[in-house]
Amino acid sequence: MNMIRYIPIFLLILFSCSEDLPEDVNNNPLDPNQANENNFSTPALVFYPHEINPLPGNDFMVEVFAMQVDSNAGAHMQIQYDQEKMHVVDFAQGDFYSDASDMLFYFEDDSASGLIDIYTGYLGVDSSYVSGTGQLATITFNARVDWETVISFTENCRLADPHNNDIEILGFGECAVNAE
Amino acid sequence: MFQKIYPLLLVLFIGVIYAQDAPPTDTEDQEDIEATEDPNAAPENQGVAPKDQSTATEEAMPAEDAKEPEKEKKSKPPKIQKPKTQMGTLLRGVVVPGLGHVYNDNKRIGYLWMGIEAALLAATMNYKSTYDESLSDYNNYQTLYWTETDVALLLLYKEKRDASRKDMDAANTNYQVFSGLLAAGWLYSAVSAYLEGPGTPKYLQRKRQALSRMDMNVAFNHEQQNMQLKFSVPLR
Repeated sequence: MNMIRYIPIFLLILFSCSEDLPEDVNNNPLDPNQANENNFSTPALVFYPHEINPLPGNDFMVEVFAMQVDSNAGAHMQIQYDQEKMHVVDFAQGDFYSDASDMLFYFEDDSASGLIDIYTGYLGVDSSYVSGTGQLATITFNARVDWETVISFTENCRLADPHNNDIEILGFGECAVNAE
Repeated sequence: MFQKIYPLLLVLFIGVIYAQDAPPTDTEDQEDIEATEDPNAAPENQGVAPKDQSTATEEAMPAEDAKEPEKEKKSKPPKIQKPKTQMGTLLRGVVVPGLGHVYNDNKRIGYLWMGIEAALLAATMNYKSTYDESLSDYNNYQTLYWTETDVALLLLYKEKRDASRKDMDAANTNYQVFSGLLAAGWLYSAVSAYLEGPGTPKYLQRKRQALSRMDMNVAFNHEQQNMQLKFSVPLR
């Protein structure tokens, strides 16, 4: 009979309340501490956001970032997309070179092959450069129909220092687009 | 969280069912009932003599006889005190911690349990509130971390999010411990009250001790200008 006294001790675990703790999601593509976990090294070219779910027929924006670059004076980005599933609506220059007195921003959209070329950087003969992470451009797309696709960089991208030397790009990000 | 309340509700339900079906076990209280239910028992106004003969005569008149049934209807029947049972103790202990002990006339322990459980409940609610606040902060900083494109700011938000997570973990652990203690204490008090309930040797022993307690008073008599000691010993 006295064993009944010990039943509450066993019920302690049963009745103790606890909440389900959320899991940390470190999925910001611009987080330098998560670059290795996201399978790329820096300096890198990345899209923000790296996942997007637009409605079919609606516009959506993708930002292009240079991440953890050192002494950067100019960039050429070649971006590939599926021209049957979306088309480019607009371009806008980023603020990475915003302190330049003269700035280059030129873009070309080959909608037949689904390739975008963007040239941006400092103009002139001075040795202006920037370092760190910054926005190079913003591209607005329009989703045509229901689909899933990826916007990616090609191997023809290039970052240059003030002396027009190549800065090695160690990582390329992708943007997964799921129109539904 | 609410899924864990279901076993408690089940215990409560079973307690209610048993309490309804439980036979009386306390023989002491049964005697009181028999005395109350005795049809030959003296009425409440027994021993009070009528004021005079005329009053008695008037009461015997037929006009007054008609009013008597109304009086009988209005007068409440004698209240029957139900015998205390172990199941009654358990049921009260399950509904309110410590109430089972109070029902067993063990009021000091009963109020002590109520105080302990109230303190544990307050601590549990406090840690739950802290957890909710930390969770809200965590979600806010997580959203800011996702949407920020400035590296310095996103690292700051991430740091604050991690700090909120630590607070949340600590609050959750304390919430778990104190809610467990609350539940265990609650059930322990209910079960211990049940085991010391009416009809058990401990209950009878405590009753005997209470009855045999000597009543002793010391006072100063101003008329006789001396100290006086008065004590009484129950013979039962």
